[in-house]
Amino acid sequence: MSDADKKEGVLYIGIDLGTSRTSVSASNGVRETVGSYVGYPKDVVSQKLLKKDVLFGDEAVEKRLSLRFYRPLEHGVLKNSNADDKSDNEIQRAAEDLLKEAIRLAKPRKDELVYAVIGAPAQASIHNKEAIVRAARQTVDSVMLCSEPFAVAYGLEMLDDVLVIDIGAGTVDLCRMHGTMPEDTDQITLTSAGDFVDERISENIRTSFPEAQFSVQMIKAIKERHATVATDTERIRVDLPVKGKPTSFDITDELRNACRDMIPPIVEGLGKLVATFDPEFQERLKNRVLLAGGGSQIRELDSAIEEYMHQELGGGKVIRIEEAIYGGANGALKIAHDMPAEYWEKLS
Amino acid sequence: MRDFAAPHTRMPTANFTGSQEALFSPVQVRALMAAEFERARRYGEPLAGLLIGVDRLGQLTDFYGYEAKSEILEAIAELMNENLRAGDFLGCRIEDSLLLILPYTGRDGARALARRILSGARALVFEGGGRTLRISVSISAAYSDNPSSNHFSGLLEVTGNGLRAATEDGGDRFIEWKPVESDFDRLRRDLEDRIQSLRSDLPGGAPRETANMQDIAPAPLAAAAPVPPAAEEVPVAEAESSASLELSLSAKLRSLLDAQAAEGQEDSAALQGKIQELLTQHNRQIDVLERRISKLTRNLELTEDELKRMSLLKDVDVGVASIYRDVQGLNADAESAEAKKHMMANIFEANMELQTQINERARKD
Repeated sequence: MSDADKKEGVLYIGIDLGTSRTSVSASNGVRETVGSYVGYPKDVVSQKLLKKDVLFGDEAVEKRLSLRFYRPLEHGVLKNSNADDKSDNEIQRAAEDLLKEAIRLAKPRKDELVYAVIGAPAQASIHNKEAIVRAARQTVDSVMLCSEPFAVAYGLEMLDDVLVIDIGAGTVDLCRMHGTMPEDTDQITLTSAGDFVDERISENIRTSFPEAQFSVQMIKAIKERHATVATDTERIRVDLPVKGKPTSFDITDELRNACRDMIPPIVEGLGKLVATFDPEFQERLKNRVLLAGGGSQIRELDSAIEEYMHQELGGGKVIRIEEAIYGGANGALKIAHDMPAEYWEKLS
Repeated sequence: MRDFAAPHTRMPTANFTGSQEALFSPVQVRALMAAEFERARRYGEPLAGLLIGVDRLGQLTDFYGYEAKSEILEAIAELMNENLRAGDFLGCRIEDSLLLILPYTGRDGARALARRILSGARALVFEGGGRTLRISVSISAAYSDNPSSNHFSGLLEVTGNGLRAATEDGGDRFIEWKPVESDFDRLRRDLEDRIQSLRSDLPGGAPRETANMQDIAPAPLAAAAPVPPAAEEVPVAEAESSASLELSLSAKLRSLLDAQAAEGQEDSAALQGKIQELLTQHNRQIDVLERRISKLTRNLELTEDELKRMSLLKDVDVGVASIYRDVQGLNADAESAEAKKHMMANIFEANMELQTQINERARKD
């Protein structure tokens, strides 16, 4: 039994801590994702009914009426992480619980060291980074943060002359990779992300069909199912209640226009990053644009951005990454793997 | 380096494999094994079985496809061909594992072979989807000199359990699996032994019935037996530990009657009273023992229930072991190693700075 004594190991975890979805990739082969929603039973009655102290993801969304419901990473950062009042403490607690849940999903064994790399929004404030690290320290042995778009590019081994667009729910992160670690000037964070699209869809539907009743969660579900920027798509019909009666509405234009609204700010941001780059490599940079994140699943978005880049920047080529949900987590896992031992030890 | 995208290459023909398809089927192997185990038993020859599984083959298949799986299994079979003696082994594929039966091979030989296969598998490099992939295997062994694996199905079970244990422990290891007595079994056995011991301490194992005058009839008064030491109170613990209560009571009665005879008293009423007193004391001791048995039995039941509950809790996911035993770090041969090294240093420095700020803030607070 010569090798049987090798019990303990090192579990690397890459986490993409997103506004609406937190994804985890681990060195034991586990890949999981959970909605970034946390709920605590409002009172003893709901606690008895739910039989849980804390609920996460879709379950929390489903039972949200019985819960104190939190979305701790709204706008891609820990909400109010630099404030001190009671509700903010609960948000911090929700963030900690969400991270604990993400790490639990990675199924670490008790006898293993857990080293995690967490993808944070490119321009997260120092307070936010501190809050994330504080939350993570509760459950892992050593933790590092890195920029989300950088993690995506690193995971795909595209380190030279690449522009990354990482579309999340709270933020769109743009990052310019040029063979070294991106600096602040290489990164732009926009708020015209998934939540922005949800608001636009709601506004458009409200304007076109004022009698229709809907909630944010319903709009999210519609978007996740039908989102597209394609012009030649089948008509999209959804049932929305009108005075309690389900009524069918054709929301094709409302949905498409809302999704298209996110393109101009993205291309404008790309233009800034291209324009401030070495002129010799600008053309190459424009032709290596990676589209990642949950928002990249909007149908035909890559072609639409490309088309807009042609109009505004005179050309461009957009490549949609294969794994929209796990791209960031996979990259963070790769960074965790490549990080030397002494770095982990110093941070533990 | 092997490339998953490259045309599917066949393994070179060898004595048992040739190709995966050419391995013996499990049915053929069963027939051959009966003869092989019989021969080993008859001539007292050692026989070893190794079950070899590729770690996380399912996940690798999900990620790289079935061609990759075939490629990996063929590479492992090829590796075995390279490491085995010609003509003295049999092999077959059981689901995604490879079984080797090694006649005339003892523990040392099997261990040496397992180590060679382990290190050989670690050295295999595959190329797929632009990524370099290394694999590891887990190996479980069983031997015919062990009663639980001196027949083919027993050997299969032992090696199967071993392979499962090796995989659950993270893979990349060699295990000689033995059934382990669980805490539950051990505790139950201990308690049952104690109860059995207490029961055997009771006269004839039937407490009440033995404690009557017929069974412990006094010796005839005329018998000139030597005078035994004066009757003493026998503590319960002593009665439990060695002498049975029956013997103790007999001794006391005999002593009482001898003393009576020596004194020449013939007051039968007084004698009967003393005997009755002894019997009452005896019954009290039996009562104590019975209560203790009853209590221990109840405790055993409670403990069993609790252990059952805990064994159910064992189904709670204990986690999945990481592929890595230690920190990996950047491979110097990796593409853009120097640039990546620089990036890792930058990420570390930024995080170190962040940690310093957190610590300073915590100190101020």
